[in-house]
Amino acid sequence: MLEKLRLDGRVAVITGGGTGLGRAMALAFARAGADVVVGARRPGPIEETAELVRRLERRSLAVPTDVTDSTQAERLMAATLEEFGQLDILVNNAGIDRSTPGRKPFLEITDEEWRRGIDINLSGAFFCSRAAARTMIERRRGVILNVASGFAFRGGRDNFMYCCAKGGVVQLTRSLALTLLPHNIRVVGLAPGFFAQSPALTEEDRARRLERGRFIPVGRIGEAEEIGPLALLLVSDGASYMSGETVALDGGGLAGGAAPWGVEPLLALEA
Amino acid sequence: MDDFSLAGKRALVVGTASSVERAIIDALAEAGARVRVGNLDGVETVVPDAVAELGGLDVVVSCGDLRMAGPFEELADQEWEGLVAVNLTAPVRLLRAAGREMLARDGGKIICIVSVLGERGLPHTAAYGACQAGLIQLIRALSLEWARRNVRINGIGLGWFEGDPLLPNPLAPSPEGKGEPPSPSGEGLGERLTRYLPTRRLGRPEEVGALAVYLASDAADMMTGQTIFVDGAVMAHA
Repeated sequence: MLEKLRLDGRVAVITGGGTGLGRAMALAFARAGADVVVGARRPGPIEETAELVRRLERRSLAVPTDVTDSTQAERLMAATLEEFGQLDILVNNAGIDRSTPGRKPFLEITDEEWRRGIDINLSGAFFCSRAAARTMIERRRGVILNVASGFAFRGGRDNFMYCCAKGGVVQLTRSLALTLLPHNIRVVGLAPGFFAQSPALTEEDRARRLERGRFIPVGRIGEAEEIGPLALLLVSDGASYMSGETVALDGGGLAGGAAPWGVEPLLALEA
Repeated sequence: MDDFSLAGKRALVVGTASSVERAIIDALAEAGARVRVGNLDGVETVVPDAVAELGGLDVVVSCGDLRMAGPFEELADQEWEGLVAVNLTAPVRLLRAAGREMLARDGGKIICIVSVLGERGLPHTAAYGACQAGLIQLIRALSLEWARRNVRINGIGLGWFEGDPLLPNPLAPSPEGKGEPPSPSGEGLGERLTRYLPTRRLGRPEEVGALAVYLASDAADMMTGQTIFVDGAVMAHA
């Protein structure tokens, strides 16, 4: 049974793979035996991730990609096939960028901000899935893992593009799962709660994390590398009867909600 | 796969000897756990017995499942009580005993096996589904109550699996032989069910093993209150 959790001989493409959860998944897959292609807009971080994968004695390729441009999404998959001859796993992890406001007063959100937020968090996953599915359908094998968010299932004040797009990612996962099942392709989702994107380097980092942890039922936020084993399970043969499902890894956040006692909900942060 | 190692873990699996339960026992053992198997009839004593034998308890899996289907208007009080006893009362007692043990020590992982019928309605399974929905809510609320005390509680929601006692006739008579709905096509109900499943096949018990190992492992410290469906996309479908 445990051998089903190996990825030897498989090639994985991870978008948003330069930092944080994307990098953590890339390294977890490489440790399990996969070769990894990393795509994201900034060349520096993806080249770093690729180098870390190579240090694990797996092959890797960094392809600068803006997933909101479908031509670039197609090119990412083409580069993968050219280098490795196959594409077995796609992780749609790219989302958010520094130029897009997370929360902004509703009446002040511009058309352009709305479109950009939906594009980066939802359309990119659609474009990449469509591009990757062509070769997966041909080979009758493949797994797509979409990274959603706790905000896919719950709303937030002044939080529009992110919540709406991530809710869309959950629906994309369901409809794609049903569409691709006849081609022997599974589609699954992962909804992370609050995770640190990089190790805490300063006192201020550590203090901020502790403060955030107060609002999480288990009392802390997640560390990026904690995403690895779950992502690995979901894309591996160990999850062969799972498709369409989005699994939350959130320290209990979605189990409850705003309540007069118990864990203080995140609502308090928004007040 | 170090992330999934259960070396040194002491696990108790309690159920009704289903094929899924057997697959979970095998998977936990393969990952390195010492596993004791308990019977639902002795739910009051299984936890202390396991602690005495294993020297502690890190993982508890609740697998008890009495499958029953039939027209609701014909449900006898006795049948309902029997259903609740196995599918709800026994897990409640097991989790309470497991929690008392784990809370008093270093915490632990609890896994509850539930059914998609706790989330999706289906004629002739109202009573069964009500019990399963109860378990799913037990997982959510209790996970929060014990979240700060290092006890994690998650569910595995099963779709339709090989070895299900309701198959090949999933809407088949209850043990008392109550009505099976007619099949206009003349097909067996099991065949009809398989045709409607997005995967066109039943799940195999061993396909639950890896998830059970993950939920029992240290790698799942950040997960609690979730019911994860292993259902071949049944929950994704309209």
